[in-house]
Amino acid sequence: MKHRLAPSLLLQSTTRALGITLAASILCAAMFPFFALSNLSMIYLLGVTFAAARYGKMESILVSLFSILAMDFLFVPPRFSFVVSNDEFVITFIVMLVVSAVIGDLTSRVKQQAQIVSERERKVESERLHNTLLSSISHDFRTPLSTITGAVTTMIERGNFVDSTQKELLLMVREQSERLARIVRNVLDMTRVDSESINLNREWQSLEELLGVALEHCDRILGDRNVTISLSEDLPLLHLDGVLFEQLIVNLLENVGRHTPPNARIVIRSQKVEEFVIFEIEDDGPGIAAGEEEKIFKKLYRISSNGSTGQGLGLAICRSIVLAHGGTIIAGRGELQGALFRISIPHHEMQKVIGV
Amino acid sequence: MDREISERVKILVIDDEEPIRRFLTASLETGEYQVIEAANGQIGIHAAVMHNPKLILLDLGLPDIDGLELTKEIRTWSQIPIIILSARGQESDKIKALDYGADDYITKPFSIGELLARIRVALRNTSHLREESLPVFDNGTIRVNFTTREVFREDTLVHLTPTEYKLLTVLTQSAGRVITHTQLLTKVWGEQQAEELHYLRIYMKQLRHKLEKDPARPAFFTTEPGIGYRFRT
Repeated sequence: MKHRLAPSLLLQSTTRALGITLAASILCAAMFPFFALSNLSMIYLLGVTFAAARYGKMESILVSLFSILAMDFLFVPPRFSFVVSNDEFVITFIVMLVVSAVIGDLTSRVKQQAQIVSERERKVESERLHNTLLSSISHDFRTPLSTITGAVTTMIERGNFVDSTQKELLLMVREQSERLARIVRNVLDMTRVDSESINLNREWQSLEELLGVALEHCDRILGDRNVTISLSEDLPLLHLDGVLFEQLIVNLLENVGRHTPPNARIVIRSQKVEEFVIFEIEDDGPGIAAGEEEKIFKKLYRISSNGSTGQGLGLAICRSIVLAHGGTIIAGRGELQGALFRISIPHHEMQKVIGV
Repeated sequence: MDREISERVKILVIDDEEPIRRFLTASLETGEYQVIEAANGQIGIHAAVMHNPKLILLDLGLPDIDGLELTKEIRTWSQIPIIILSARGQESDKIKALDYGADDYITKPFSIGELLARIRVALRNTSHLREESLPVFDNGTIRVNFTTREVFREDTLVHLTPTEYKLLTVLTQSAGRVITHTQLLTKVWGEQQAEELHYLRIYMKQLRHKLEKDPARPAFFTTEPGIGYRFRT
């Protein structure tokens, strides 16, 4: 806290300092007949330390000043005057001042550090609580959502619709319950992936396989969009957490599905470039608004302009997963003049990792 | 046509969530299946012994007995097919359950169509007409003649290396069912290589490229991330 010498604060500090000095002086008065003056100075130093530990730097400075005056006036001969009979005492007072300053400084610094640590601990604790709460709420959502999705999907699969309106309504229920499930899934993923100790279950993965799973997951949301896939022949296996990485691709595809017209073109490609594997998804849709390319990866970012109502976690999760793997993800404009997402993952040569 | 009550196939559902049990009963009891419900592990074991179901749907998150323990326990006295009902993000539990002897799993939320398909596969595998005793495997696109060791994709002969052929054979034997990485590696390469996931990835890729129309969007050789593969029928 910077020195805000508001008059009321100064008054408060002065009052405290006077109180401490008074207490020390009373103690010294009781000891005066039995102890040498040098020992009395220790009592005052105690007062300085107490002021620094209990209150702060201001108080400790004031106490050291008051203490010197008090000691001079009350105990140093000639008593009850500020005159000093022996020059030695001047040195005593100077040394007292210096020692007070050092004690005061050190004590307040220790206090400050302890404060910083406890603040950090509190922040970590509150975030942990926050995540636990989110996670437990989301878990509570799962059974109702599973049941609703299961029931409505069963109804749709059985057919026998009363009329096209009923079919339409059932499709809507399914679509929205799947959307809810996505949101819950993303919140849960965010609580998992947010904590600094994200536990990656790395195994050798084929990007082609993970892409295949993701495309199937997103079949409905991608609809009739034309998807071209171009994976280079020499793509190595990657040491990734397959479940998380597939989730990442799903989030990117969902993002494309949400922000492009139903007949958009999508191109997915991947190639090896020196130490990295580059994985790109681009479309010929409206693209990302200029200047927003970094912002879209922030949590809870929402595009307000085109009315798209995606919850803002999907891309933030993508970034967290990519970063956890030591890679990068950026967004921009692609050759198709739409959005382009480029992921770059360092790949370890298999020989190095398995020791062959 | 309604089956006689006695002809209906008994399925035991062990799940502590009442809505899930209701949903399953309502969706499965539409003709060929009869559902017996159990709300926890103890009741489940009791019901399994009493009613002798043909298949068990088992939720992993039971309150009294751990679903994995239950799987192990049931396997000590029965080979009855078990399909695990699990939530997302429990991959290590699913793998353990499969290694303890569960036949398949399905992740909530699921559609009844998906579940019915897996139930059919699990029930078929227990019938005496196992796929492996037949000389030919044919799923309409891929045909394998085990006697001549010839493999055809839409009537075109495809050349496979011995390892690729062995891998394909193992997959056909568990067609429609999930098979874990460890199970596949052990069956094709032996116990010593049970950890060499990269072999599996490389050979699965080769099979996909030789036998799938679009290897990046496979129709048959599908991946279950974190768990294994499923050779779809």
